[in-house]
Amino acid sequence: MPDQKQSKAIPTDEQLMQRIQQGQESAFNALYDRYSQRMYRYFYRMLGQSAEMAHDFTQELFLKIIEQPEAFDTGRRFSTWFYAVAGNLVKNEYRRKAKQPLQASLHDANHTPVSMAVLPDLDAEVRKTYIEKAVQSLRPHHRECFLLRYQEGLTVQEISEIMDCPPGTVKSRLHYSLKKLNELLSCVLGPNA
Amino acid sequence: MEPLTNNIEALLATKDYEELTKAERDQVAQSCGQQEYEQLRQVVLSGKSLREAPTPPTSLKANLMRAFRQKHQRRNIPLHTITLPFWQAAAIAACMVLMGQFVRFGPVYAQTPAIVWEANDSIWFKKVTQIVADTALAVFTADDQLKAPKEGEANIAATATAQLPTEKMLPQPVSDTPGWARRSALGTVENTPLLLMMH
Repeated sequence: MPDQKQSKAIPTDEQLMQRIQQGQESAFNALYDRYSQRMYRYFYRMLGQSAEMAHDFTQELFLKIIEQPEAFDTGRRFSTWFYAVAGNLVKNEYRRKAKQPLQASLHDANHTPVSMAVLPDLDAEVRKTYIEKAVQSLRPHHRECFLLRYQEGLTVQEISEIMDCPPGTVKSRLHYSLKKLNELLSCVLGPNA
Repeated sequence: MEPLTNNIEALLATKDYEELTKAERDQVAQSCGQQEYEQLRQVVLSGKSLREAPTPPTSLKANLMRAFRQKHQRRNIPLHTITLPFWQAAAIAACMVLMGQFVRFGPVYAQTPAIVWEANDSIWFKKVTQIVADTALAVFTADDQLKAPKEGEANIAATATAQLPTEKMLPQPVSDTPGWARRSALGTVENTPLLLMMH
């Protein structure tokens, strides 16, 4: 019973989208509060950690809901659809730039004159910077898989729907990205780090 | 590259090596070993640490809400998407019925005529009676002259009016006057009109 009451009180994403399609401003407000942080973070990581681009892309994403709410089929799962739309925006941006973003930054960092012996003593901020750079150095598909799975906490099945590829491919990409990050961050993420 | 098995990937996402059961540790031993598991687990945790990221500025929300309002102000909402509670629909229907009654009968004040003539006003009654009688006389006399029956034809009017109180009226002519008008003006034997009776 309490679950039923709660489900009545808190509308699902799909119900909110239905109300947005009817022009309810409060529904859009609620949906924004649920997803803005997540989508901003997603764009921020996928687009070279640029706050400006994350802002622009988050705005563009939500404008799509405002301009064409009918594009969402309320029979589908909203989060999957929304991440897929966000992923398409990112892909378009990559195509537009026609280059792979930020490939060499970690290698540059590895070649800095910082002694490896000092790395385990790095404070949390610097360590986080290394992790971010390592993630940025992944290929876009691998980075997207990694972020969706471990940053956003989505399941393999959901990621396969978002990226429109089989779950086996998602697992393979996850495995690759974990191994790659393990190589890049072994000095930072060691047991003494 | 061999993908991680479902189990190992799920374990990496949720458990440290120390939290694994014996069966799970056996699985890990067959797949990648304790050391690699712990390293990969650190990578996974580093991914979770990325959840701490800058937040969108408040101006973004304000812009989007403004855009939403502008969009939906000029938008025609399709009727089939409007949902009304039953009581609201019933209230609207009741209002429409009441409005219909108002239009049909008009407001209450309109039901009372501006000038009320009393039926027992003898002067008025006499004048109206005179007018009706004079008019009927003029019409039927003229009509009678124009459409006088020819010889040999049945004088229907004469036949019809034979039973009327002819001392009080002229013979009824054959005319195109509608029956209801004639009856109103001249009446019948059984039902002689009030106005002519007075005349």
